[in-house]
Amino acid sequence: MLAKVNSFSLSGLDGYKVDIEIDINAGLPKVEIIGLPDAAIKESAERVTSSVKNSGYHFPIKRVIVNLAPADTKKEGSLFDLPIAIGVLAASEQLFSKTYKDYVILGELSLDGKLRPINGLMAILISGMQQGYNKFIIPAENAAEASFIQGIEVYCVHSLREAVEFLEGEAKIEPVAYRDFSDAMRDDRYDLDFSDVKGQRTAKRAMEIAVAGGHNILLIGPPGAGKSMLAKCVVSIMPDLTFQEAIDVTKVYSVAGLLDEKKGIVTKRPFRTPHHTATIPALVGGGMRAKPGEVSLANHGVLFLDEVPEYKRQALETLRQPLEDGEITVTRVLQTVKYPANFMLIGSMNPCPCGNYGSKKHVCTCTPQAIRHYLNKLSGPLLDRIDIQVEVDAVEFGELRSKAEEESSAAVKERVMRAREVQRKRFARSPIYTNSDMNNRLIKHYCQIPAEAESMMETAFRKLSLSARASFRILKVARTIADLEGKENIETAHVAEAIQYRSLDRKYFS
Amino acid sequence: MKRSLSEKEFAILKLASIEELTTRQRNEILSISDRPEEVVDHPERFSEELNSIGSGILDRILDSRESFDEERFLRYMEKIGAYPLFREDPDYPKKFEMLEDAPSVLFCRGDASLLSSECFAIVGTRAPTRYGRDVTECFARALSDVSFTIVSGLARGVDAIAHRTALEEGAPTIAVIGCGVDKVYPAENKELFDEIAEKGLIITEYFPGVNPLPFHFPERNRLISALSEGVLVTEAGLKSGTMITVDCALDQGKDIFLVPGNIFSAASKGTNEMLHNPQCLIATDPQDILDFYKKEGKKQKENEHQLTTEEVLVYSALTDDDRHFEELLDITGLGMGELMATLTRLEVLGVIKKLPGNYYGI
Repeated sequence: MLAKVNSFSLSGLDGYKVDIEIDINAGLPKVEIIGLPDAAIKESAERVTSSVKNSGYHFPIKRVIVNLAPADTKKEGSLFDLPIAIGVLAASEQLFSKTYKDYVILGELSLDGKLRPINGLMAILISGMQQGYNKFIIPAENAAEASFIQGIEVYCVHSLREAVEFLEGEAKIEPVAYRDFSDAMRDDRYDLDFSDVKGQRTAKRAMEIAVAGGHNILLIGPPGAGKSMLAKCVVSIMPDLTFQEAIDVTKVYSVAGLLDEKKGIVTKRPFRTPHHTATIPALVGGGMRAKPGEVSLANHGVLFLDEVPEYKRQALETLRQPLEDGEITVTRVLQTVKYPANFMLIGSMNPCPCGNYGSKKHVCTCTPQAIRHYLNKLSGPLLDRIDIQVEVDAVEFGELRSKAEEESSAAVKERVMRAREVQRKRFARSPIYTNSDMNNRLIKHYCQIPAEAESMMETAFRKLSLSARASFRILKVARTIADLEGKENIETAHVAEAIQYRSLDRKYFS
Repeated sequence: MKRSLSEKEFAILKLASIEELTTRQRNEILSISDRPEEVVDHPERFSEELNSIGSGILDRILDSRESFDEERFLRYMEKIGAYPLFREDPDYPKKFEMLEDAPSVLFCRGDASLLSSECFAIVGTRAPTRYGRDVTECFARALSDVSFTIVSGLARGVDAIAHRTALEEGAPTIAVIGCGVDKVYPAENKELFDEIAEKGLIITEYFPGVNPLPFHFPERNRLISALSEGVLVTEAGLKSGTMITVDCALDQGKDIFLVPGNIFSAASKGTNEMLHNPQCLIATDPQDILDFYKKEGKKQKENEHQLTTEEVLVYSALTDDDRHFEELLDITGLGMGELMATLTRLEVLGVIKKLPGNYYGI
């Protein structure tokens, strides 16, 4: 007899429906899975056999053929265990009810018949809903993840037995209750607050501007100056994740298997710090299954590259496309997938290989060539995408101990939110959200500066030997500074301040 | 090339191309005969004289006849924009005549007429501190302004700063280098080298292609001091090559000016030590040097800018010492953005400087 069960699989972040057809024929006892399964699915035969038996059912001693349609797409993962088992039971007439046809069934089985959680559920549920499926049976441990999606009925089961009893109508299960996102948001705190960083007022101000305008930022300073700590704090002054953003982030985390199952949704802006030995696939995504990389995991959050010049040049260059487009296309033999990669880049670096260049207390032992070589590791095109470069220096002992109240993240965040609101209104008719995304045409339109500022910029270029490409960056940052102050027009002081954020262009750095 | 070279001049060049000879040996060979080309072309005829100068010289000269190609040399010099300057040439500095071993030929790039101008040498450590940097800039500026041609060795540190400051002042400068005129050492001074070749003068006694060997630098130091009226040492540690220049200058009877430094700073140990030498003069202000040579300094162009209240506030906070940004915030009481903007404006006016590590200074 033939049974057909609905299930779903993922290609990147997009789910597609998979029909699982099970036919039981006379022949030597064997389970044959066809339809381009990967190794995990092939092994599914063994898991299903054992769990059917251990759940108190009888596994047919016949030839069982499992077909995963569409047959020409490579399928992966272990989420077909439960649908295959249900199909086998239906085909062998141990499950009489035909209600299973109304559901999309997903889940991995363990040998004792218990269900194990699956990866990528959020993405599957959303795609399923968009394609008109609204009843799902999923492993109980994925319940939290499902609870944030409104308009679908999701039933959670703990074991194969429970699933069968539910389908037969013997057991009653309530669909997962919808939870409002704000509930999950409520008691979420970031570990570090801006007030934990003592002193460093220049760097903090630069951070605030960077976040307000969505600018990428480079922190330059000696070891121990607190660059990493500053970077870690930055998520705490970013606007809260909106529900849509949270869903976007959760999808990627779910697919990558990094989601906290108890929580079910990501409520904090991601902060990713790949090590400098990270390979290109680890950074941008890839591997046999075109998994999302660090740039996608940092979507709507921060990608922090500590000691940027230590990264492989090629790896850094691959960041250019995501920085420009906000997404990354990963192409592998089996598939081409697009992942979101809309992140804020924070880089940190020493001013020279020994780290003491410009220090008042320590002597720099680097030769000028060594410094130049070190700085040259950052290519022009990459630097072009970093609007703000700021020097961070070692905090004096006295400052660390000072009792002076530092501003909290909440206060800074409020200003950031106001500036973001100004930008949202400004770009209401453009496809961009922040000042950093402005192209040259928009810059000309929105970044008019007074004549006085114009002449100051001209002198600054000559005297401070700023590179020509710095000019648009300075204008964008000046726009953000004006927005933070709630000013309609950019004033000379705003431009003057923006010029201070071009540290690497300075003479003593070249 | 302005003119074709004589037989004699080719002979001098041929000798110059033999790296193993010292300047003194070259001069002795040239003095064997009135027609040195005969010595160079037929050294076997003068074997006795040559052997008394040094063993193996005869063979070296014989070899050079093979290796030195006149045509190729001239083409190469033209390509790199250089030319030889012989003792008979009018531009050849008269000042070198007092040297025991004046080079028989100099290789130049740039304007050789500068050699007859009034020159002043500024030398010092290759790793200057902020203090050395400031002192060098300050003196180089003042001396350029009274139309001294600044002479130095195009080394890292004080030398490079002296040259660069002179160029920034629009004044000519002479670099005496310790390698072939087609080599740039240290390589990071490439841009400066090209600019000096264009607006000033680069000279060397070494044949093109000769590498910067350690013993060349003491040798070229004697040319630096010989060219100059006086030598100014802005900052030098103990065991510095600068000491050699000072010794040469003392031998040549030149005036030596020293800028005292912090007694605790290793970079100033050398200059401070030399202060004990009664032959050295102390300069604590560029005016000291100008007075010594009875030169009228140009009026300092101070207070030319109309500063706003905030700018004055920031400027006066910086008068005694460099300040960190955070210090300035506390001292001036200005807001974050306000201070940033003020600093940029002052910087653009050229009144203050931004230093590495968020420090600002005058």
